[in-house]
Amino acid sequence: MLFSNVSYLVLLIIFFVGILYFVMQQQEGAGVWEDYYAKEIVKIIDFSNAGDNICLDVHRATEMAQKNKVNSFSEIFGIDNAGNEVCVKLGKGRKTCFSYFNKVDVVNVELKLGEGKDESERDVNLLCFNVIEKQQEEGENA
Amino acid sequence: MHKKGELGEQVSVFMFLFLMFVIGIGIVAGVYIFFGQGYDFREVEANLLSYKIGECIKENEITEEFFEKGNFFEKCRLNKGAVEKNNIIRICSGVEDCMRAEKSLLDAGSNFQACGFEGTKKNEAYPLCATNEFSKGEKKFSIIVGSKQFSRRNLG
Repeated sequence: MLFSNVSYLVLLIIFFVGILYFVMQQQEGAGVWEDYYAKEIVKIIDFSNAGDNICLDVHRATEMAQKNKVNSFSEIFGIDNAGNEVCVKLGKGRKTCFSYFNKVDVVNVELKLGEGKDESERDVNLLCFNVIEKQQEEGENA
Repeated sequence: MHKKGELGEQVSVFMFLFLMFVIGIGIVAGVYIFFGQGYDFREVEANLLSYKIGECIKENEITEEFFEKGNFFEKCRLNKGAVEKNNIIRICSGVEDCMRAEKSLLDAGSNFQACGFEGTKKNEAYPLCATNEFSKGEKKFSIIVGSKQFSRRNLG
């Protein structure tokens, strides 16, 4: 009888830990927000022209990354000019990437903490970058 | 002698496991329903690329060489590798149905007929497309652009 109760308890604990792990993995929908931010940044890069200086409100993303213990702010947004790709990481372990088609390079990517203002005049974190002519030729048009 | 009692205990183990399974499936389904499928960017990307190509054709002098692949991507400031991987493009001039036309000015990718299938709009295996028609001088251009790109989850 005791053995039977203990085995039920062990199974219940395993089940509970498994479910808790799964729910924690979702991390407030970090994957969904990564997807959203990556696509919005790509949309802006695709629309931009060389010479544009862009700043975006990324306050929600930075808050989420901090909550999910992403090591440093520089890890959150990555723009790879060689691969024409934007990657966003708001949780530990994985990042979401999306490609842009505009033939430009994105330089001086900088996260400015508390330097922007939203509609209600609250300080927000900004992601700023400059769009320049493509510097590195991949030999793709040969 | 105790067969009845043992059977009862085994049945309750199965019931217990079955209940845990049902609760587990419910929680997993709930989480996925709550967070949704994500944001389908294909149509936005196709419209954006179609707009860019349209503007590029309007701004540039159109010669025969303009639509040679290397030249076209260079003049329109498009990354050839990224476009060929994630998009399809067809540009026609002076044809009724660009999607099914045998001749075109430029083709990047294939299977343009998929853009015309009504039932494929929710199918992620097919591209979502945008069409753009305009005139430049006496020439009428049709542009079909499709996007088949989804975000990628990488380790990092």
